[in-house]
Amino acid sequence: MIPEWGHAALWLALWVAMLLGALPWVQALPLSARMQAMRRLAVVQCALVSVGMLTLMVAFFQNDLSVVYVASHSHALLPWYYRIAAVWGAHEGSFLLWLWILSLWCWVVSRPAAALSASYQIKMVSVLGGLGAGFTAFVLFASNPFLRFLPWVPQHGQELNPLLQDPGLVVHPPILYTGYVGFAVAFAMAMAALWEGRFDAAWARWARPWVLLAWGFLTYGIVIGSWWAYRELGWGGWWFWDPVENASLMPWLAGSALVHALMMVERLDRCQAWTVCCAMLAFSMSLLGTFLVRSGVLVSVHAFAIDPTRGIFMLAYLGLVVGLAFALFAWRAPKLMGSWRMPMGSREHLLWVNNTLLLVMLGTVLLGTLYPLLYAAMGWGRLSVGAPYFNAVMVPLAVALMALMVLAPFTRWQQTLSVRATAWTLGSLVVLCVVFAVVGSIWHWAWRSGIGIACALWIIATLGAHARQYWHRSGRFTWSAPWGMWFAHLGVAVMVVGISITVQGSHRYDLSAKPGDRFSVGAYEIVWEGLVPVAGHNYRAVQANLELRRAGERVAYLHPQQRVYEASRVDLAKTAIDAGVFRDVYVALGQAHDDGQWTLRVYIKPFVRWVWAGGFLMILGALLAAIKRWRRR
Amino acid sequence: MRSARMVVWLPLLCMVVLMIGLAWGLSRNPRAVPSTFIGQPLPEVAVLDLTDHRMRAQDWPHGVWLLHVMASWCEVCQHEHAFWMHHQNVPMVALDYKESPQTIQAWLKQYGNPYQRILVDPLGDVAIEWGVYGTPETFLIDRHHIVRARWVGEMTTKRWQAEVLPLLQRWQQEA
Repeated sequence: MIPEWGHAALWLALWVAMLLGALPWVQALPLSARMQAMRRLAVVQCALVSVGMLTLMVAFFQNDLSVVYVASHSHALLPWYYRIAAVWGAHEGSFLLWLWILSLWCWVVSRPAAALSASYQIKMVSVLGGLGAGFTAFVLFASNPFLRFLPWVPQHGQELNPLLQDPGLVVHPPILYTGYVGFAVAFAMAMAALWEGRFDAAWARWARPWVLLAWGFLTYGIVIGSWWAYRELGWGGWWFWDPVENASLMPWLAGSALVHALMMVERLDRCQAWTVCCAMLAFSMSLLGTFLVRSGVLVSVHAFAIDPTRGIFMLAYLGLVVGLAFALFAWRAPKLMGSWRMPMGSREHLLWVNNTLLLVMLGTVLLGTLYPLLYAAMGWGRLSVGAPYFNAVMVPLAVALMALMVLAPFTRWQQTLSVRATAWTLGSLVVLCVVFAVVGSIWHWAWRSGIGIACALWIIATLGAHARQYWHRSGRFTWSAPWGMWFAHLGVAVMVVGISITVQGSHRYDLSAKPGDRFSVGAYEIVWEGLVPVAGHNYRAVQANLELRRAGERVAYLHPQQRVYEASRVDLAKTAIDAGVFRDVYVALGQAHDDGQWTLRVYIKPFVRWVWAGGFLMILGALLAAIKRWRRR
Repeated sequence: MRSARMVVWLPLLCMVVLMIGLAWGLSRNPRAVPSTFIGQPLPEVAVLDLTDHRMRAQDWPHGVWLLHVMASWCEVCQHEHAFWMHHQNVPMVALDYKESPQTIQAWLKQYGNPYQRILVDPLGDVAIEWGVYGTPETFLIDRHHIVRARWVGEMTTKRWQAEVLPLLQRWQQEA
């Protein structure tokens, strides 16, 4: 019976969400009554969707194989935490998760806020209600996770894809979706502003922490996803420019532009139309990403669930939301447009350049992701766009962004940056870049890595100088300091250092070896002590016991495995990593050959952890900036 | 102000174009790889090998052979390379897709070279002529230079034994 409760709750949620969406048109009720109704409907909708989510979790926990979705992704041998996480391991459940997070966001922002006018807030929450209604309908009609196999219940479940059986699955999708869906709030805010025909600085001030939070969650999701791909796929890479990765990068880029643009509205009461466009773009990209990943329009390593009929539903939803939004924009945006005049080199000017660069990056990624489709549409055949394209276009844009970051701390609102200061900072940056590129090329480093490190160092130096300046002026560090900017920009610098060094200095060794061998990889020596069978919950494996040594001293034991998952008969290489601040040693056990030799891949990846550490610093920056806004209220 | 009124329509226009493109994309099957010339001879194109020698019909390996499309920038090909190093029982020719001859030369020097010949395709136009879908990809070609089968994606021991070996033996026995 339990899944039926969830099913029923979802139907009720659909009606509640539709009511919520209709609220701004119920003119008969006074505003205060509509406010009250808005809050109540949002709470009830959230509760109902939560019931749906919970019942599906219970069905997985009890391994209720009469439910089709459970039967296709669960198995009695699967540990309970992976059974719970399997809820979002495939198509239907991940959409329910999407919907649940949307309803949570809707509940959070439906709390009456003094900073917002009542009519504005009702419109905003009703947009979220409308989005929720569409999504609930989609879940119920096109991707229902509560359907049953009756009266014949299968004996065994098909297992969850072994690649997904990793702690990464437990945290990665919910966090990534919290970020994706968080932009729905920004979207609703933008729609409501267009609808009202104005966009107050106070509203921007209210919105900014939520946007920062969504951006932080999305960053976290991307960072965790990258780390997961690194340890799970066994190819030693942390970013593949895969369509699914690009799908998360696109809303991130638009969101980054939005976070910066909101400041202009907040401080100067300007650039409203631009900001609204960024907000709508961020959520459109979230939807587009979900569509690209889930509809099967692009083939990718990550596309686990593919069903073109659902794709049509999703495209209709995407087209409706995005079409309505941008039509409203075209109609109402002229009302929000003010003067574009900004002093050269003022903070708003730089922010605007930053926004343009971020949106160009977004266009680049979008083009690269959709180009195979375009290519086929033109009848030229089929192809895949690889890393060379993305690297060639994104690296110069990223360098330009970093140059802006170097200047950023010294700019002021509505004041031209002095020519002297600009010439000094940018001039020294160029000199540093040239020096690093030249010195690097002596060591046979790519010039790109040299420039990356030079820019990163210069960002860190200017941030330090800015903090010092702040200290001199205020005598102490308080909440008024730009902590968010400091940490987020520091994060970018740290990430760039990591990328530059790991791209340049990584080594890969393909070895053929057998137990008892010892071999050297770079500065390290690996002793293969033995090969043992291992049994897990739901897999059998052979495990290589390796001892990693450096200069005769033991550094670590590594245990890479070659697993066979029993239910699905899938082979999987489980990597073993000795992680360190300055380098990772990464081992993957390959296949056995007829002559008793095994393939063993070893990677030495310097500074790879810095890539993720940079991501975490950015998240910290977003959190600090959000907390600062809340404290001010 | 007039130009501003036009500009605000731009996002809508882009989105509409995008939606139409995606709708078209959905209407086709993403998994079906058109086997443009299975049963047909390998199309003749001007292609050079690493020594700048232009390939002619008599330069192809005698007997049944494999044409393997790869590149050193392709992660999956790197992953797959160890497999090929252990399966050198059939003549193989590589088509190096979209990279410079120097890069692939250095790469093969480091990781070993299982190929008889390396053809270079820095611009990717040979790949288009041959209907290549992506890297890595493997074609089985018989003694009369007729394409008999193709496999898209990573070659594994399982795939090799289940799909490639039977076909290989069949075409090797064919007169």
